[in-house]
Amino acid sequence: MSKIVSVQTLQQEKVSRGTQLGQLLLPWLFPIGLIVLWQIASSTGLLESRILPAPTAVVTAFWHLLLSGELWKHVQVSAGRALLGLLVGGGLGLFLGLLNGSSKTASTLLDTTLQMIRNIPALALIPLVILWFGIDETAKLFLVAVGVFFPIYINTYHGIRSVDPQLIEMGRSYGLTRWQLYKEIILPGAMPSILVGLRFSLGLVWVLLIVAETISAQAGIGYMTMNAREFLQTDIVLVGILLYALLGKLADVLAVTLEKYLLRWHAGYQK
Amino acid sequence: MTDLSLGRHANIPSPPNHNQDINPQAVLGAEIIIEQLHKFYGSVKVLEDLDLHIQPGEFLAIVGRSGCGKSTLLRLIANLEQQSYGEIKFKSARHLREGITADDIRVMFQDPRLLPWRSIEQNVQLGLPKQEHATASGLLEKVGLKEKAGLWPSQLSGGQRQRTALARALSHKPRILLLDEPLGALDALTRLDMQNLIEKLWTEQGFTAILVTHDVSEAVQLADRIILLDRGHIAKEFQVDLPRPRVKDMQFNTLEQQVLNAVLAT
Repeated sequence: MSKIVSVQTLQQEKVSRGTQLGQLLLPWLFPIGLIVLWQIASSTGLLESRILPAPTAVVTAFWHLLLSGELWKHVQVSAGRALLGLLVGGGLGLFLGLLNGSSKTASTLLDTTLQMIRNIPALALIPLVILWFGIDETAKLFLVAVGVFFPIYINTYHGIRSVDPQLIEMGRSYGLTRWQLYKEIILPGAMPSILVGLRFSLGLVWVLLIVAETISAQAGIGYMTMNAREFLQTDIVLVGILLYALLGKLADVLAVTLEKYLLRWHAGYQK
Repeated sequence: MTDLSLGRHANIPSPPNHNQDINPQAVLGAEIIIEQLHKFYGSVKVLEDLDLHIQPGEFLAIVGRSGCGKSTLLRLIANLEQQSYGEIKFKSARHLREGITADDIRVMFQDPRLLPWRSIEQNVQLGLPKQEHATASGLLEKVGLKEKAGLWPSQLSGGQRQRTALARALSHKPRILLLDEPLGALDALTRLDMQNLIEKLWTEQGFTAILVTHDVSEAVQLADRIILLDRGHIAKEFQVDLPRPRVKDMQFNTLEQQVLNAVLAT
């Protein structure tokens, strides 16, 4: 009897291990299948390389760009723009979010205006931005900064407003000074929301950058793709597009890591 | 010191006898004198013409139905809200220090209100200067949570969290500890443990304690005196002259039944 039982559990273990592996592979089944199909279509001539180059061609193009050092240069320029834009726009959003969240007067004075500006798509400003700043770096920075400002602003503001009033009451009655109250209760309480804003912004940065770098640039991933388009180098165009996806994912992973560290007290982030 | 209050509150029972014969630390407790206290929310009268005299080091329990104003009374004493009319005066026992400031009053709320982003130890040290951090950590040992010091509040059980809140309140060496139904959300066994812990620390440290509770048995277990609040007035007072630590004998049960009947009659 006991033998049978043990055999059964062994089988169950095997099955569960199998499903575990399946769970791991399942999400990749579709993309891999798609790439295989794509490669077959390209190799058989069903798909013209002018429209979509074969996956192998994209990989080759990537390899060449990597070896020549060109890729690194463009990525560096783009990442620099993204970071600087995020720093300026995000920093300002954080500051105004903290200010308006904490002060009734400031929020009455500024929030309506900011909400109006928020409804203008950042990219609709392009003509004006070109007139103001010309077509150099400042214009691109401005676009990125305006775009990332709002997610961080709104989430910071909301985060501060939604800090548990009971904790604030406790802090007051336990004799915390205004600064201690801010540092110990309000800021950490708003942190989950602020980080959501950061993740939204990181997603937006690359969208804005793609457009901003096509205005007129001498370097950057956007420039590289636009340039390749002129010469019908679809493989390089595709490398550029995939690079944005990759950098976007990388930024998100960094944000999640930061979240995991800063919110390690949160039950949702504990193992 | 009490000349003023003696005249006005001549009918108030004599101070509880534990005051005279316990350790010298017990001089910490402050005396509370409440006169003609009124509290309105708009046209709703929550407290009306309330007079109450609480002895230094006394353990007072306030019972009553929901909405009788007992939590409001506690919040007024804690200075979390302002009264509409009347006075709440504090006096320190034996002139150790004349004035009682907000720093001498600590509240333990119904929910622990711990900061989820600070460790248990940091929570107990909240608002204390660095040189007192060690004493605060010592209190964690007293409430039996020494080995949990490094954990987050979300990793503790409800009872452990409330014990942390108790340690946090006591780390400020309060002369008045206000307890706003702190055990309401705990299970029966944890509740008994907590009652014993509160009683032990109160005897050791000698602060004045005011407990607001729904639980009549808890009031009889802990308090020197029980007042019953009804529609903003003191409807009845009970002196609890049972020896500590209290056991649930005949006397206990009779008193509990008396108080319970009085509550039900309101």
